Amino acid sequence: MSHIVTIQARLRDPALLAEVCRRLGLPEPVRGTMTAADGQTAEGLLIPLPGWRVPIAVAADGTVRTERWNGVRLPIAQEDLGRPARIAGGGWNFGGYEPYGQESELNKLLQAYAVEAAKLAARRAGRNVLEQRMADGSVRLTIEEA
Amino acid sequence: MASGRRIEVTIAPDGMASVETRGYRGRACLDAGKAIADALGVTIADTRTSEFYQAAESAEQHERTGQ
Repeated sequence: MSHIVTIQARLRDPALLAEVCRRLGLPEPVRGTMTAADGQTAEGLLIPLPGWRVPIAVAADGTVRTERWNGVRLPIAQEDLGRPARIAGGGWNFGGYEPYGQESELNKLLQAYAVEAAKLAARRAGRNVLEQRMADGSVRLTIEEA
Repeated sequence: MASGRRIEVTIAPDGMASVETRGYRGRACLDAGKAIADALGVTIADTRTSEFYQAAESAEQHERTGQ
């Protein structure tokens, strides 16, 4: 072991993103504007996730915007409604509003995209890729020179 | 023939990834994983282990002696 880089996924390649959505059974991303419950908006490629009230928006730089995090503040401040209650099966319930989606649905997309992005980059460099799904849910790619 | 050089990419369930290069020497170690890392997203940590520096030093010595 000599060098380790830790990376936060960015969904930069629209064609690859569309392919990953197809594989996950998600609708194809459509360019548009996501409007949060508080009226704030985020533009980009919109992807509806199962159980999510509004789609996520993927900006041109690959950044993911949702109602709950990453630059778009919570539509309902926690102090306004008291502590939100965790609902059965995960997610949060903010009073009279529909529950927000489970983080795992977004994570599934982020992981699948990262796996395919790494495999594509390896193939373009003429390298062989071995893919293994690990017990903890992570995916390991071993990339070797052809 | 296999060179023994490889890149191991581990992608966590939340999409966070780590790229680890093995068997490369010196600067090649950094270059090897760059295309993969760039395709994945934004680098938030970059760790060079002691083996990296040993390998880099060894490569420099080879260059100086012409070996």
